[in-house]
Amino acid sequence: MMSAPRLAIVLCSLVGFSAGAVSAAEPISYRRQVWPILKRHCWSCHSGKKPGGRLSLTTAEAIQRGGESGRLLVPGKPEESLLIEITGGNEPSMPPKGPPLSSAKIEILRRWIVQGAEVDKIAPPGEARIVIPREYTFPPAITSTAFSPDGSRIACACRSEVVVVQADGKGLPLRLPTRSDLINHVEFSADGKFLLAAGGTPSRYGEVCVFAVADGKQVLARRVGNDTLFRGGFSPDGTRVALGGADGAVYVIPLDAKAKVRRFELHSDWVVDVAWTPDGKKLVTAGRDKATKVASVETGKLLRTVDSSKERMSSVVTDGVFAVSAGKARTLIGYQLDVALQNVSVTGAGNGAKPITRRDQYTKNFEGQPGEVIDIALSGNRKSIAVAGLSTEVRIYSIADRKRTAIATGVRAPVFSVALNGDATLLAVGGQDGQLEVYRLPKVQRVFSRIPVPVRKSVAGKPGR
Amino acid sequence: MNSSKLSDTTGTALIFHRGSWLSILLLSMLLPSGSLQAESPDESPGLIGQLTVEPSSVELTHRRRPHSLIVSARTPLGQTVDLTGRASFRCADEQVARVSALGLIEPIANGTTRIEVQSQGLFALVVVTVKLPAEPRRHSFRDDVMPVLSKSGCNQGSCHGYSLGKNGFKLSLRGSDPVADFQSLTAEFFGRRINQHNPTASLLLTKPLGEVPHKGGALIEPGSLRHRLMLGWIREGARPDEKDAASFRSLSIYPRRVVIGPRRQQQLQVVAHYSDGSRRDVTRLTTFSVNTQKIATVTDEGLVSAEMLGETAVSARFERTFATAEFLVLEPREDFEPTPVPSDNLVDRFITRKLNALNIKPSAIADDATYLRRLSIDLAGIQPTPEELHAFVSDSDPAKRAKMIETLFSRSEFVDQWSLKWGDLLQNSRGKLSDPAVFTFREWLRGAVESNLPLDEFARQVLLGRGGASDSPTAAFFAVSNDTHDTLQRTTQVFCGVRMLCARCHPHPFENWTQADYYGLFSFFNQVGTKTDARLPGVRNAKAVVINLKTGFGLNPRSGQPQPPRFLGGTEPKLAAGVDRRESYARWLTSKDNPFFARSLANRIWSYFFHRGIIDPVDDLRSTNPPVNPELLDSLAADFVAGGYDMRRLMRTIVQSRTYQRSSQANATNVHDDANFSRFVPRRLPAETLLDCLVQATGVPEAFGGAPAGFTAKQLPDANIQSDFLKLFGKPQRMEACECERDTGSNMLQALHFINGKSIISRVSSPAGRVATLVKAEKNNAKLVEKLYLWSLCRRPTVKEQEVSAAFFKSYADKRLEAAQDFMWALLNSREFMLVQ
Repeated sequence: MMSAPRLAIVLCSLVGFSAGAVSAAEPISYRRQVWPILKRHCWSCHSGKKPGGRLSLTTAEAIQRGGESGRLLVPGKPEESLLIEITGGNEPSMPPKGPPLSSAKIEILRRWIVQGAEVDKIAPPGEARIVIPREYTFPPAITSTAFSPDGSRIACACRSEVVVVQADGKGLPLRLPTRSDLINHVEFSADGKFLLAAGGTPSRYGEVCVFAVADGKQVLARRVGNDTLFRGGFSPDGTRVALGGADGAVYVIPLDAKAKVRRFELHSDWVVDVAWTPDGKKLVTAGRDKATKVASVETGKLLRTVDSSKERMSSVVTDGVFAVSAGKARTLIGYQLDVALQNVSVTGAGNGAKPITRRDQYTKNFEGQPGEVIDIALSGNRKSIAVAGLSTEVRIYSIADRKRTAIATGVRAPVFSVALNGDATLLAVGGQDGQLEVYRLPKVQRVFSRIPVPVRKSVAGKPGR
Repeated sequence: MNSSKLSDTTGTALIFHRGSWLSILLLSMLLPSGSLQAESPDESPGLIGQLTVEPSSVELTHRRRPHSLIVSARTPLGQTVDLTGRASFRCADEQVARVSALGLIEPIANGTTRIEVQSQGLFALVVVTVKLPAEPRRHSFRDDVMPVLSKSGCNQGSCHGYSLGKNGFKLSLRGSDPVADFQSLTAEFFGRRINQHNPTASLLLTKPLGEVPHKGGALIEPGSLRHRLMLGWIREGARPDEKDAASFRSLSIYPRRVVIGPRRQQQLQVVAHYSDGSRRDVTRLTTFSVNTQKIATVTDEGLVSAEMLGETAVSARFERTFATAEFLVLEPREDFEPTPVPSDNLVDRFITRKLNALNIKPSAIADDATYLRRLSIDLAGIQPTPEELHAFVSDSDPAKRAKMIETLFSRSEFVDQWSLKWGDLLQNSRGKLSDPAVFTFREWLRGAVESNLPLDEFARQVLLGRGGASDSPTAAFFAVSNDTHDTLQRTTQVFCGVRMLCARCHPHPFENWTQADYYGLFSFFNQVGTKTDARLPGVRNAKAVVINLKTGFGLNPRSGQPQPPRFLGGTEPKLAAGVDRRESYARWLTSKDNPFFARSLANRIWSYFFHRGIIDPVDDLRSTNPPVNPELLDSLAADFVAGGYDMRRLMRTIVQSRTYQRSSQANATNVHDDANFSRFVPRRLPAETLLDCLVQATGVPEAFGGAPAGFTAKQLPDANIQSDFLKLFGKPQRMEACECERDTGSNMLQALHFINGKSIISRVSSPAGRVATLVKAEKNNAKLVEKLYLWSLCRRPTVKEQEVSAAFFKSYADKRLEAAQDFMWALLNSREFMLVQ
């Protein structure tokens, strides 16, 4: 007979990766030998909020506790341990899909149980190494931008760090590292003293950081959920932030680290943006589930789903009279909130009240957009918005009459973020290519264009290995 | 009815009482295979000649792209033995290239060297040329990342290739749209899936590696080739490809044809060819699948293991292109004597060649009675009467079988049979058409069959009909369609044997049809519309087919641009404005070098005389569904074209062949073969034929509600009639252009209907029926039994059967009529009656 799958052997030998025989005397390391097996074959189901068979493999306690089929391990007795029973044998029931564990892997598990099945402390699987290069090889995309209230500074989210530059483009940028892989939102507090950075590590955790602008010190870091947080912002009174989550919830996170985080379940998919009404009573939310919704802050309940688009949403802002949202569908739509919420109780249960107005009674269309919209920015005086996305234009509108007041053309697409200063005289544009561009409005004169982080020269164009 | 006694005594007729006849049918097909795979093949068979090494020379132009070698030799009996795993490799100059113990060659530096291959005392040399570019090449999204996404299954229909994506991440189905995939990987949600500054943290890696929870599971092994390719691309900045990069052109597989013993293995090698002339070994990035799983299996790496005797194709998919290797799994048989290859009939020539290659002896020629019943049922949908049978069997003319074919061609039932078939395929039905339109079209079809209208002309007339029923009978073909989509799908399925539906929304998953191909066909037919025929006021479904010459081309939703008419295969004809574009299509379809028309029709017509097409299903021609005997299909199609698309001529070639005349009795060599036509595989009679045969056997006609009196089942205008029998036995409703709409399967309800239903019981017990008449006229029980056998099973009873039936009649004492009725009931309930043997 021919040899067994030969190419598999080729692969192994090339990579120097081998399941190799384990010598009987050698102690088995949970961290180095057992956990990689569990992680690869078991953990994707036996983790999270609802682990399969109520068996979670995420913590040492949970592993020792077992699941609804009983204890997983009987230390010293592999033949009595459920783990070996279900993964070994001729027709193992686990893993349910894909090939069974190799005999070498079963042997490691067996010997680990013989040796007492100790679970040493490992780094929680949620922890990922965050790398912030001193000098970048490739300019990082600017995923969020914000003006300080006085318009003198601009904060940019550059992957895992926040960079603050002067609005005239001069001087040395201030670099603020975070423990998040991806920052999706930056914002100055109304008094300009604090800087919010929200994001997290995809598929692991969401995180909120607050920095003191004066010395760049991090004054708060809170983790919530199991995926990144998206966009949102400070409450008008500056005591909390509201941010969209990947689990369809809006998180309202107090800046007082001891106060409890509130979680409003509103959407069936990621909440990509949240906007506060100026009275601080309502939140307008936009979701990947294509919906734009209004919720009560007091109760955390839905007041009304004001619209459902054909495509996913990406951004929403509100001046208190109108909410304006947009997304992949290339439409920019305003919703007159008082009309939309007529007969809807703001302080009561919310959900129970029946809206009486039809969509067309409170919906006001802006002009069509040239491409998918990725970000809408609201000026500090809440009168103007800037709209940008996959097209090479950034358009400025006045909210009250929905008229276009300025247009920046020839912008390098895709634009990931836009920001306006207090009176909409400055526009900041952050792109996927890592360039921060600032324009003076309404004449659209470019003030400067720069990559806010240091990038190694000449490396970008050089071919790889 | 006194049936239990019968079941204990007679052997032929009584399957229902022994349990489900279905299971017996199945058993008879499955049982004998075990005995043929008993002993293990010789460890080192005698090898002849020299080593074959593929490729015999290799040029390596890319640092990260090694090339594998496949080493093989042949046994004296013509089997291939894969020696790759047992060969030793030595590179003459390790400064130029290195070769692993398993024959993978890696480039080191520019130059030329040789690799010496040695196995089983045989030698071969491979010349290796290394020409690496001065600048190392970057990883390519198109050539490195996309194949990994396909190979790992990320973009399959059940995962992120689903039209709505999965968990917010959508990829194009099987990688049909690299531009969109690049966009969603690099730009969507602020680049959350890729981190160029911290590559190992990229979601694109942590998900498939299983480092973070992933519903699809851990799909990529850490450190594997696939992992390294993705990581390499991200490290280099996850950048798009250069505009002038060489593009993928075609795919080849080695070996193409393998003759191999059971429980042996063969490694495949898949090579991609690029526009700059370079070749790349993509075996490890190819997705493999076996058409017939029980014959062979294939690993993720392309190692095929032969499991049992038979034949299968192994498909390799890379970059949405397929290459197939044919595997013939044979027990080496030194004592096999090939059957002499006949030259007088092209069917026999290619079938015999194939059977010889498979070490299969065909079954003997069937006897006259069996052949006549088979031929009558297949050509004319009727059984021979006892008189016809007698005349045929006693005729001593050696050419009597050929003569009988001509006799059946001239029968009116031949017209019934084939106009019914065309009526099904072209969906002539009152569900969509007015009464006058259905009957006019039916008459036209009958005329076409009767006059043996050449099928190219037939297709032209069908495709160019316009107006109402009174203007053009064939306009009904268009009046049936719901819309242009329906028209193009029906036309392509019926006349080209190609299913295009998938390509309406996305590239076809099993063939290289794109939306441009689909909308190219669309634009041939979108001038056709229907309006109410004002000349037939108050008539239901009265439609007139109109042609709006001003209609522009159909919009391709992918490009958003009008798609000019495009024939299947890619040619776009230059058409003047304001012409009926169907004419161009009809000309292309019926031109002599059209690769689909004659081939699909020859295959389709073949399938009406056997249990399967040469390609099966007959209306699903594609590169991943290869013919079991390509030479046969090619020459049958060529002969069909040369004979002027003459349907009767084609049928004659088929039914005159020894292949068609074979007995259904298997021998030791062909018992497991159900794909190569080495024996006749029985099929159930189609619904209409079964009913007509039942009517003839019992002498009791059927009255159909909703059709003119006196119509036989085959003459019915459509399926809008009341008949539980026809419905139960799978008469198609004519809602689809698919051959599969006719259900030829068997089920328990059918069995129960035959046991208890009035179709049989009332017919055998009818006082005016065949049984009563025969009982009155024939006083001798043995002769009565013989007549009952002749009317039902078209043969005389055997001696054993006569003995059993004598005992049976005796047990009924003086209740002779009841005995005869029960006896006939049992005969009609037999598997023999239900099947074409």
